[in-house]
Amino acid sequence: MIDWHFIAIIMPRLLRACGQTMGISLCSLSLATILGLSVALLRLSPIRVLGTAAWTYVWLVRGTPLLLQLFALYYAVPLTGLRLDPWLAGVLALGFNSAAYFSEIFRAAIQSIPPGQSEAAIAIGMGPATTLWKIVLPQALRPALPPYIGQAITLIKNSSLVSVIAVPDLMQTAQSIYSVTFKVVEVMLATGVLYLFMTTLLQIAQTWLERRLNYYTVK
Amino acid sequence: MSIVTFRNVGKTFGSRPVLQDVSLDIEEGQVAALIGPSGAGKSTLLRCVNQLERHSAGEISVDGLVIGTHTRSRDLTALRRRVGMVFQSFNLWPHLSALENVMIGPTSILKTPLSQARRQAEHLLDQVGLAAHMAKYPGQLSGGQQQRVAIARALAMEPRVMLFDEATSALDPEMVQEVLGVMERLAAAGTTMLVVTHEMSFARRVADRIIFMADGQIVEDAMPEDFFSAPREARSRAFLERAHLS
Repeated sequence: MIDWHFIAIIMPRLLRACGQTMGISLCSLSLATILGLSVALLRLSPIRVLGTAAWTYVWLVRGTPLLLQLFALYYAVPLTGLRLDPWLAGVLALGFNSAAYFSEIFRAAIQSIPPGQSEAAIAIGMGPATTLWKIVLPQALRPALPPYIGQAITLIKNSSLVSVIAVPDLMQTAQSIYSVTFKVVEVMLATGVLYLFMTTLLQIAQTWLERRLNYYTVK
Repeated sequence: MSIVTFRNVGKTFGSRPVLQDVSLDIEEGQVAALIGPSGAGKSTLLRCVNQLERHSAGEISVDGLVIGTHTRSRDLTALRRRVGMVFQSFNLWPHLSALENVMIGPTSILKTPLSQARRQAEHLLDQVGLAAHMAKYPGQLSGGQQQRVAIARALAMEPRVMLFDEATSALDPEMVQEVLGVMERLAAAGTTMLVVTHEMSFARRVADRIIFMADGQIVEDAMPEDFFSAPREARSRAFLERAHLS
């Protein structure tokens, strides 16, 4: 039988840890979004070297396990004399990792905008930056949104990996509770519900944003 | 005074020449219709004026700005601000309302104050007969209405020259006239216009000059009445015969 009373007792502690996971996820999501967009723009840049550098980044990051990248930041970087605390190492690893996926999402969305759109902007004398910011990116948001949210959900779930470098996130807290109480089922049930709660928030955000971004597509 | 000048302009796509040794002077206030079979290089010539296509030989000057084959791309922006273009496929920005489509050039490029840009845009949209549709998005407008917004958008930059690249070719027949009507009023108001078109009756009625092109070259350059009633060149005659048959 499931010990509901036990779940009620551990809930406050799990909720605090859930806040930690949210903080890590939000920080790495912000980093990944900015970095991902930059990498996408580099990939699309006419300057060959920049495109190749961006391609290499995506190739390396997508081609190796996140756990390995986490270890690299936490154990290998200190060899250069720069010590990262676990929280920062976790945020950076998650951010750098998701940025590679985001960059491909943004690149595909930008490339889906018909070339006539930026051509019309160039023709009235808009510079490349204004064209990107006012014409291309606003239109690329809509196709980018569903895969972006999907990747953001993956990021939240992947954040559980930072538990291996002793960041007191939701997963690490859950493990430390059941390793003492041996109530694995109760702890994981509660933990699973909390992860589902966080990812549900993103799903709701997606529905709301999709409705808002559809303002100019008429039925 | 000539406002657009081509001096021995050439353009190749890969190894294929699309413009060969084109020289041309367009006077201020002139309406020149570029006609000819498809693949003649009419659109390419037009797109060289605002450098959407870079030419590969010769020199182009627009309103005193001289553009060579190696002019840096940032210097082309100054040129493009003086040249308005209307595309076959409209290319309105779907995420902006008709009014915003017209306003965004002045506000983001010329830094025109918002209220002034809005007044100007409202005035222009009113002139092209769209006073009742300013708040609509392109997706809510017919093809003819979209093309008229596109004309207003180009005019908002107060260009010295307007380019029309088959502006009515993508329109349903019943919408062609409303766009040609706007173009005719612009011509009457003294706008310098280069018009690539298949509308022969429009070219004959509105243009001051017919430039007939074939195989990347200007074959005949004549007054409309001369061109349509007594074309000098055999290729012009053959083209006109086919155009009349269809």
